[in-house]
Amino acid sequence: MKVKRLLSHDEFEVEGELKIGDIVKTSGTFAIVVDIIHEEPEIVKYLNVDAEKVRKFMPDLALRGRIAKCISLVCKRPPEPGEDVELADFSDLREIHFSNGEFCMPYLTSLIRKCRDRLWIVKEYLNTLMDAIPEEREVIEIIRAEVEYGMLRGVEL
Amino acid sequence: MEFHVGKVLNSRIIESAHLFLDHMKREESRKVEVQDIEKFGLNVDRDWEFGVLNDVRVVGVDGSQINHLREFGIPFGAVQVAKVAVLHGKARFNVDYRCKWIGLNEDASFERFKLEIQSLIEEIEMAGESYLFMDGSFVLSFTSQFRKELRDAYIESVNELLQSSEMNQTPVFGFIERSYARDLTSDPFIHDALFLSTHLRRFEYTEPLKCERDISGYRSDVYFSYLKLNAFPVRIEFPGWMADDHSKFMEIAAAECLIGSTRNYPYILERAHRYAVISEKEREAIGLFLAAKTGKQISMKYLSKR
Amino acid sequence: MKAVGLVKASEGVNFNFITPENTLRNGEFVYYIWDGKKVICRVIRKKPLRPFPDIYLSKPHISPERIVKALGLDTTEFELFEVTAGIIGYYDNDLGFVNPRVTPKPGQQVFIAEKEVIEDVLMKKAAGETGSAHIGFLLNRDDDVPVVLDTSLIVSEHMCILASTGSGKSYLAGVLVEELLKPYNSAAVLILDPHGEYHTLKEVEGREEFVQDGYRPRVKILGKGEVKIRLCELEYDELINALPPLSDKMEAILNSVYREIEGTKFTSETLLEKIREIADKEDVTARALTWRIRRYIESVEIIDDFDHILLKEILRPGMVAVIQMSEMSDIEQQLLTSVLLKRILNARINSEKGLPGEKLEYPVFVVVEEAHRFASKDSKSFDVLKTILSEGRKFGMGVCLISQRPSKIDSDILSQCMTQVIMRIVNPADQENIRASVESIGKELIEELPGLTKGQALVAGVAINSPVLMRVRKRITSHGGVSKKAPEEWINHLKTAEEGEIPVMRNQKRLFWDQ
Repeated sequence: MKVKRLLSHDEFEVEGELKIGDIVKTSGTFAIVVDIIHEEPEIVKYLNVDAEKVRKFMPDLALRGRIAKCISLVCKRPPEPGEDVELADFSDLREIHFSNGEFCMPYLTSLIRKCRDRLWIVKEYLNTLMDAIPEEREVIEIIRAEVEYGMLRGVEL
Repeated sequence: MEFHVGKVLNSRIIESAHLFLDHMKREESRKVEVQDIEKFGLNVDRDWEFGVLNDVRVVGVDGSQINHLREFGIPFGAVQVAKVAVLHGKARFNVDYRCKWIGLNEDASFERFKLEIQSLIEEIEMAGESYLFMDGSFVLSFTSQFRKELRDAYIESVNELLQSSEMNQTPVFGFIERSYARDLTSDPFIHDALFLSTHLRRFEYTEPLKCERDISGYRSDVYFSYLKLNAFPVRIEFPGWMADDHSKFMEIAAAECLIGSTRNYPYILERAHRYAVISEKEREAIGLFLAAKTGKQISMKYLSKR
Repeated sequence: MKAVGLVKASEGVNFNFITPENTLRNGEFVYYIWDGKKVICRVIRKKPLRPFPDIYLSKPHISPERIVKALGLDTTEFELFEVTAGIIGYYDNDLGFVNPRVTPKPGQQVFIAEKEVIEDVLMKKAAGETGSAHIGFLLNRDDDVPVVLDTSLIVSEHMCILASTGSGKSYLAGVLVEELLKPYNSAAVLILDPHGEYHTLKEVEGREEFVQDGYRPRVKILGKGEVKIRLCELEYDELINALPPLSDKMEAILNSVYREIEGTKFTSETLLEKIREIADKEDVTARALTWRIRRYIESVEIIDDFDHILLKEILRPGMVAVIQMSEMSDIEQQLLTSVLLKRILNARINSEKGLPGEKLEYPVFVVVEEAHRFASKDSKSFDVLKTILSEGRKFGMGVCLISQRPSKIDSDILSQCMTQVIMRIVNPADQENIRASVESIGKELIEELPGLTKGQALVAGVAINSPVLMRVRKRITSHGGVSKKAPEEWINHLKTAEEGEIPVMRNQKRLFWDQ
């Protein structure tokens, strides 16, 4: 997977098979996948073929143009287009969340703002984080409750 | 008034168009040999193409070029070739790229052609049962005007591919969607596809026909067939050894065309082209990048056009 | 002069300021500068500027700060307070507090009122100054800022101490009396003490704090037998007052009898003889009147045929007389109170107007405990108290009403107490009554009342420049009004009493029997 292009100082696109909520890393950035887009609607040319056949017979078509939009969580150095992208693991997550021994996720407020209409991404992410950093589970649970409340507020009951 | 192509007429072109039409009709009526060309039909029904292609690995190669980046002060060009391999029905594929930077004294078109051929040969030599597709002809008529060394280089390149194909028994197709080749008629203004357009019905193709044209005294072992799918007959070329199992290869080629977006051109080449193409934006990005990194003066003309 | 906060915005007589100062309390005094003057304001409310989202408070063992920090945020915002302050005004020696009608500008500095500022501006007197009564310290300050009342104003315009039982009102009254007995007041004080809570004031006589240049206060504790009113000294009204309601006929008889013997040193027997003389022996009215006089005059110990207490024996500068009424019946208490107060008032009027009769040439101060018993409309002492409260100021007779049931005190009387010390009040009717009768106290301060604890009080009225919350100072003498500790008394009783069997009825052998 490679960085395709930069959208802003903390948003970039990765070309590759990623799904929403994946945490990825480049040489200087940790980021979360918040959206999957097709770069261009190539597939519309083949709409007469059913989706299963497209997947099996034209596999590159199904994937081609599959762009993962990522939002940086931690950015020491912005990614360069063409830079390699990898999935981050739990030890990466632990490493980026402790400074001077204190658990800290300073990016979260801006992430919530950017994902306002898709807070489930943040919620799922916090679930992942709870597994990665079990000792901070309760703190994260409170934050998740706040996010869930935000989801509720977004809905006219 | 006798009309023949090449005669100077004392009229405007529009006034003489009917003369040309009459001439064409006369020529058409003269196609006596067409009945002699044997044709075969494909038994195409619903989803036939998927049945044919299931578990078949096809490889498409296409290239593109940047002639030079002179407006960015970079006297170099580059060629880029994409090779797509798809294992149909198994959801597996791979895209591979080759590129080459070239100086102004080199012929970008040839370099691109050569890289395409080399990519195909590489694929053949990597073994595995595959069907290879190239966009273009193995019969290099267009090189007849070139200086000898370049022409020889073209021919050598193609021959290497044909030989490799035969040696490894790996089928390779040269696909020409709009062919103006004239192997079947003597009239210089009636090309084969036009000649066969009414003779062939939908899903019919001709027997393998040997290409007898020679280029500067050299004749390659190339066969061809015309296949009628969605519109005008398309020309499919292949090395001589493939003529023995002709119907099987034509089925594959036809099926590959039918899964393409126009149902008239191989899907795998559609994709190869898609990958190979260097967009104007990309070209500009490359140019700006190089100019910035090398401190080259960007041309004022370029800047004024932006 | 250290700024404690900056003004955020104003609204009417209140304004808000932001402060990081956690220790700033409700009731604290602050000021801002206007036209070179310190405009004193009272802190009404303090609330966190940014409350934590409720959800941050969902796990008791996880502090909300931890969540804020985990989000990479600074907790500063959550540590700031928004304080609402009410403008009292700057102090002008002639006009008192003047509200400048100019609210502070946003961004203007707000200062904590220094001890000296409060002493200068809020108190009419400095502690220890002549005519001062230092009864406590500001509640909202860690440093001891004395709360001082102006003695002359509590004497001339009366005061009240209102509080629920157990909130320390008699303790405070003790403090007040101590102050009055200090050399710088040398007051003449009378305490009407229905519960016998004030005898410990006797300790004053032995304390150095009260002695100065030959001055040494006296404390007189008078028990039931020691206060007598001679029957012939009773005025007709007082006599009527001492009796239960009389019919018109009875009153006519009594009136003519009284007129006949008025001015003589008559006894109850004289009175009864005269009634017999006037009325027919068998007259029902006369018999009923006779019965009433025997029942209510002869049996009431404080009314005596021969003994009579002189006011100067109990009211003298530098002396407090405590009349212990704990062994008297309600009637006796009310009668005594009524007669005594009326007598004192008359003596003051005689003195001031140069009229003949008993005189008191100096102002006096009377502390009335359980005032609701004496100042309710159906009390025998109601009329005299009403007169004193409304007219006493002209003649230098001050009253301090102390009560745990202010709602039972007639509101005309209560509203004449121009200095109010209010301690913890729980009963809503009493709170309402206070709200209605004490205009000078703002709503915000009334709301503080239920939150006060023992020994804390709201002080307001003429004797102080602005209402303040106070903690009562420690008494010099010991407190007499301590609640009884039943278990200890039971245990002590068992230790000292003879051991013996609990008597059982001899003939009751069985617990259950058929009948």
